[in-house]
Amino acid sequence: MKKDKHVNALIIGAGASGGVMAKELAIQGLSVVLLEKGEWAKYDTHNHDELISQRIGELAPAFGPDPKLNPRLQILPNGKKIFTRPTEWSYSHIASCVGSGTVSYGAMGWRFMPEDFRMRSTYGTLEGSTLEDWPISYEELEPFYEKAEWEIGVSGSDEGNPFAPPRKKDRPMPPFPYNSEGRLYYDTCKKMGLHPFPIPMLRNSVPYNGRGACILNRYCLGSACPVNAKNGTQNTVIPIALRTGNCQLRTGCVAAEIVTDERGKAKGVNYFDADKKGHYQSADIIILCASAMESARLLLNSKSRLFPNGAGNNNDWVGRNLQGHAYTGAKGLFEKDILDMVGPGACVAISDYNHHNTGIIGGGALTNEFNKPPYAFSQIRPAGEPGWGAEHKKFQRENFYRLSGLSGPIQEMPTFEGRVTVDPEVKDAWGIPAAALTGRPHPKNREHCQFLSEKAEAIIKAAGATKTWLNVGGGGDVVNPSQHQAGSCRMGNDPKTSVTNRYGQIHDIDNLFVADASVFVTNGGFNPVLTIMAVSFWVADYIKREWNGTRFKS
Amino acid sequence: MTYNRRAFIKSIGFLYGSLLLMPSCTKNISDSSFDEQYNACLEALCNQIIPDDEYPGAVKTGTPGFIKKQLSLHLDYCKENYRNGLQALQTYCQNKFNRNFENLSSSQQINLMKQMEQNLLTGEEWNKLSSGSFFAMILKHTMMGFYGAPRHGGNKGYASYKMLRLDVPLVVGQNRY
Repeated sequence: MKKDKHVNALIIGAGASGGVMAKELAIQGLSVVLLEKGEWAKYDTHNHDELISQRIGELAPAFGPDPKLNPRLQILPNGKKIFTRPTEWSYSHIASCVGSGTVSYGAMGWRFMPEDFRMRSTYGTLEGSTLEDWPISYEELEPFYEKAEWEIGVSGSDEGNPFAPPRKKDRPMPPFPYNSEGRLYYDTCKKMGLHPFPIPMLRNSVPYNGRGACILNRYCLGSACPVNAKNGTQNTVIPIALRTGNCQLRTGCVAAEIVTDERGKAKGVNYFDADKKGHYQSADIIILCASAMESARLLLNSKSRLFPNGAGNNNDWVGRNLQGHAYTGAKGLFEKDILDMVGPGACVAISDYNHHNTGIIGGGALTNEFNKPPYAFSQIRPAGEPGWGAEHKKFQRENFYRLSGLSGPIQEMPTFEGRVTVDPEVKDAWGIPAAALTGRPHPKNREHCQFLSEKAEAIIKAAGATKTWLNVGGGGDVVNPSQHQAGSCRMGNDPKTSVTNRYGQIHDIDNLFVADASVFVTNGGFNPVLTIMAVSFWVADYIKREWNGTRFKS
Repeated sequence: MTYNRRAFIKSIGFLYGSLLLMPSCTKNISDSSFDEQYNACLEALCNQIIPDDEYPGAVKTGTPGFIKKQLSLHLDYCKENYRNGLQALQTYCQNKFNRNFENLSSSQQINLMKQMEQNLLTGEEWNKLSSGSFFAMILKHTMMGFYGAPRHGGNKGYASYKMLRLDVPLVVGQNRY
């Protein structure tokens, strides 16, 4: 076991959260090690090949994780355990590369609405759900949303959206134009009295931050950008962190365990380097940014006498409250071509159904969709259409430009049983107990999905589709947080029912932080990544203010 | 420590290198991943899933080759299922029709495939793998091979993209595959 040189801050995970944290602390002058399981992503490795898309590439996700080295399980309601593969939705993978999902994501850059931070105050409690308010408000996070929008780079405009949360400063770049499908839905929504607006994107609509504008590639979701116009942490904050000279990025490194001492202080992390050699990295402060499943897994695997069930887990909340988004929507078939394949596809949205829908707790944004590549399209058919054969092939070529959908992320009702845990028997290639997903999603999710799908169908019908059908999400036997995973180390003012305080600080361990989506109490009705970045800026701000070089002031 | 370092060091026998793009163009795929006796059966199945019409279908564009190639790469975990499923299908056809699947008439093949799709073939020969699971697997892989990028072995000459009027392999605008 090699002992690395002690540093001020050790960050686990170089994704949306870790990249932001590394830059903020390195700029402040702290010595930082940024530990990342994957490598730098290269466009040439991926090249818009949908079978190895990071989204759900059927052969293998482009940026990992490697299925042979990283097993995961589902534990069904009857106790049966089944292995899942990263090529399946049930695995809930997060990209293993520098920048993580921000390299290949669809890049929607949403702020949550104020109600998203006050779900319980707005809607009351829900039986069987851990629905609760965040201990922080939208107003407190607002300046950090602004930081994220300017430092990572967001395009968009609130014009036409009366539901947009209040902001002090505009986004740095103008919105993307609508493609032909976007214009159709924009006009239809206006006629229906709804409020369409351009989707905010973490993507350059004009040259920004030293990189050029998006070239409107047909397919974008799941791929790295060939012209580096998609903004992530790998092409913004991480290079800045490295240029300070204060931050070391170590790729190919797998964190195994957080080491704590008898007084309950975090001392360092045991990890394996790219040559599979064991290291011990000690640090004054440790910040977990490994994703909701992996940050919780690391805590659960860090057992000691003081923390027999995992670091910070004496109240049995680590891993629980796990949620993603229940995607739902509708599709329609038109009698003429309406898709022009101008990328990335998704461009128009409505927030009319995010909140204050009668009988619905929360809701979700509705948008048109990213362009569907050929294999993905082959899997989409209305009921009654054959799934193979001559007719299926004919449908494919006749309707490739005529089949359109609207969908969105329904805000899930989190539960105590919906969780990530670790399996005592199944270990990954490094000998670390594997993550297991278990617990049923809340039945309300399905109801909420039905609601939003019907709204989507109404718009598609009004737009002129001759045939429409619903794709209602929610349901399932095991929580499926997927790439929007959140909530597993929720923040809270009550140490009995939360894992961290309002600053992402583990209640029992004051130099151990979580700054990724694990700390989310609820997950909004929007893609979460901009909120992850804002939360990381928020946690970093606390550390910078309160850390006096040897200990926390308060 | 809760992980066993010794076990880890023992179990990693080799590095995985570039998982995605093995230099497989010249790789010999006649290893044990696919039993050649089922070649004709696999072709017949692929042919019905995506037949020729005004545009070439799965067989002409190399989908059976895609499947066989991927069984030694990313789809290696499906080797057993292909072996068991194809064997079960041939056993069933021999028992019922006295001939292999590939030698049935087109409408007989389609009928059988519809039955498999509904998981209606439930004889003893299907006790290792249900006919429904087998059909779902081969259907998915055929679609992947025909509509996926040619670098993986199928879709020769970008045939399916041309059918869809997609400009390939255009480099301007980077809409390439």
